[in-house]
Amino acid sequence: MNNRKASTVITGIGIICPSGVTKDIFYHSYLSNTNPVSTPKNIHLFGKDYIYAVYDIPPIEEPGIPSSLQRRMRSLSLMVVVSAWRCLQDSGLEYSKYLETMGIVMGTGWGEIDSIHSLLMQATEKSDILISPTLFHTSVHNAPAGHLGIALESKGPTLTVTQGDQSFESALSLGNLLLQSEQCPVVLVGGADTFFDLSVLEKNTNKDTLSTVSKGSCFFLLEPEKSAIERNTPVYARTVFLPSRTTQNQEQIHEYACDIKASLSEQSSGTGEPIDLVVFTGVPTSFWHIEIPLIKAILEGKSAYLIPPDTPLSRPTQTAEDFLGSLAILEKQKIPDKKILYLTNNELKDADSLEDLKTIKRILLISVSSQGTHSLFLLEKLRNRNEISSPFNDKDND
Amino acid sequence: MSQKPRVVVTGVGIVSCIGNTYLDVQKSLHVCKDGLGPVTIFSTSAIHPVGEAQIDASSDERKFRIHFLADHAIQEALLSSGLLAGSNPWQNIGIALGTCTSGMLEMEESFFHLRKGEENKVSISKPLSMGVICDDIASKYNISGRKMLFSTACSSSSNAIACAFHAIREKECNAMIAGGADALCRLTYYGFQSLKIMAENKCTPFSSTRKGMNLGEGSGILILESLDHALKRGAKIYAEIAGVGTSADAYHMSAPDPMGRGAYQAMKIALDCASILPKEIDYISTHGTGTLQNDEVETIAIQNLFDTYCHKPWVNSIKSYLGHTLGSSGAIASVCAISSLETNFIPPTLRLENIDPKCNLHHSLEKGVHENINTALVNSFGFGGNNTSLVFKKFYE
Repeated sequence: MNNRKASTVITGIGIICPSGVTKDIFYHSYLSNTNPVSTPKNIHLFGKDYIYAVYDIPPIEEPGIPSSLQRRMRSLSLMVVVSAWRCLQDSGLEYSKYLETMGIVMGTGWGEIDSIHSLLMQATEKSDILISPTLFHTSVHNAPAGHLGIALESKGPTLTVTQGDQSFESALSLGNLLLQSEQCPVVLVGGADTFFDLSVLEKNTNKDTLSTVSKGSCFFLLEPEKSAIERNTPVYARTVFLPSRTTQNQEQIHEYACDIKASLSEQSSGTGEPIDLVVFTGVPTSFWHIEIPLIKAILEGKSAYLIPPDTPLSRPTQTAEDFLGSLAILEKQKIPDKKILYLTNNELKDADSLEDLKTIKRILLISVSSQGTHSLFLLEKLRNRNEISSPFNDKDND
Repeated sequence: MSQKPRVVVTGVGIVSCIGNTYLDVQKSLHVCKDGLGPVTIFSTSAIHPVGEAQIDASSDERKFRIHFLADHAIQEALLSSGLLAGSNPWQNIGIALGTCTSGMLEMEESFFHLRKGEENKVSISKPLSMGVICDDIASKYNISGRKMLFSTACSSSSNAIACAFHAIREKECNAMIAGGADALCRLTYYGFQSLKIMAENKCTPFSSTRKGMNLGEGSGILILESLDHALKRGAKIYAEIAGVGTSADAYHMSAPDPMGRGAYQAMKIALDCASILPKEIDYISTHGTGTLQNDEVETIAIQNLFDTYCHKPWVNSIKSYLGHTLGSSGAIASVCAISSLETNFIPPTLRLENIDPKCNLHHSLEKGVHENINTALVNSFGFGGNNTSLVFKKFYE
């Protein structure tokens, strides 16, 4: 049903997560497949002892944001504000010109769970009339986006969406809708989550297989390609937004693949060019019986390298890291040091070598939720970002 | 560039303390019946009245109260839209909902069980994963298209409707189930109490003696559809949604901008989107919580937008009937506004006798206003300085 849309590009990145607190550190960790170090955390809850593992991040400080503001924010809001701020810095956008119109869309699976936990503890341990008013208004899911809007003095649409382990993907699609509907000329889109002690109650507490949780925030600046060209800014990638769908059986998979192909044909600038790499993210349970048939139907016998999902999500919006990882592959033209599969003649096998992969121009990112909902994005490399001079190109090395 | 499709409302559903169907609510509004009373679904030492929905939420232990609220309204909306009777009803249909408490009530129950050392019957994480409402509803009705759950505090369901409007205009789908639901819970009851903005009696928005808000719960659902799609299948058209506007205050997490700039901006964008002038608005369903700050600031914003045109549209606050239903309030107010367009009746703001001079608007009082209503504006404002306005019109081909 989609008509051809205006082209959307990514022109800024800001990341704070266990795999890296700057883009360059993250790129290095992702491409070298270096896992963050987890630490065990002991808690005593409701009379019982629990232990779980945490991928944490070091304390954050951002000189660009007033320290008085940073002090008022809880962990999630602080990560969001700092990563979004760094994203704007990275983009080179003179955002003071966009204060009335810039969109902010944040995806979060858990929201301000930390505050909710504290509030519930107060309500049960103290009394129903003794809970903290400050804690209450920071407990809403949209508190981080609200803090970000206040910090940036941004008066455009400031939205928060939550859709389990596809919260980031949901935010990304909504960000694109804000651009396509011309509600906003640029949109800051991100995914962020933090962990909380209560989650351990449903996790395996066996010390040999500790459940691992993490925190992190990852933001991207989306804008129309035309606007990026006008302000002569480097572009990380062009993003083609493909329809999202929940599929339950082979017939639906086939129909969905047809829609994806039609959409790719309408939206992609490189129609007819191969998809070089397919990156799977999200929940790995349906990989073999749904994702592989889907990708075979989309590729129609054409060859492609595949990166399968490898680890369970340690937080709902961890998929934002895979999205950024795909940008790392496009920018650095390097495949991560992990298991790669090769689909050729409809046969799937381990990729012995990457000799057919001379350049990586197009990556199809497939995210699947535990509900069987697919979100697909095509990332296309437009030009070599490093060849274009920008005052912000070296910023990430700071 | 091809013209963007018009978007129409082809189904409505509602659950609230003044009725569990569109017609029941319409009747309650006509006889000025509020549904405010003591809270019964949890114990508390406080006495603030609430608008508690009369609905059986006990038939399935795995579901949350919000599931029952949302599902009831969605069923009514789908039935009224005629979509359930179609041969291939779910092709290219999506769902956008808004909520801010989700399964918090059940989460609290779990918490209390655990604290007492009792076995916990309910999942800890599921109640907090708000998207589960969208997932479960989509799964029940086999909706495979776009799913989106907004959590922007009190403007959540209005943002869901705004998103659905744009998704249809951008031809991402033919139709969307849009709206929201929220259930009463301790967290919001205690939380608003801690902010000292809850009234100990029934609320009186815009009154000089107003003491704050009452909380409520419920669900409001609209079926939005492109006009072509609706006409092709011969659907009844309740109204047209002509424009939406969203803005942020960038001022404070819980207090509104005292000059009402964000609220003004949201209304202005919605009118521009609908290509209509302020003087064409007949009726504004205000956010009208009954708190000192909100009512005063909303008045300033309305005056700034409409006084320039020497135009005073009728205003009321539906919250005087059913309390502030938080994330679902925008959708519930939208359903009530559509009822006003259908019946040419603007219900009065209940108990409003002494109008605050700082809230000098054209209030619907006493037994309400019977007048031809062509265009209605629905306001929703939330924590984080979130403002969303929606414009509904009588449908004319």
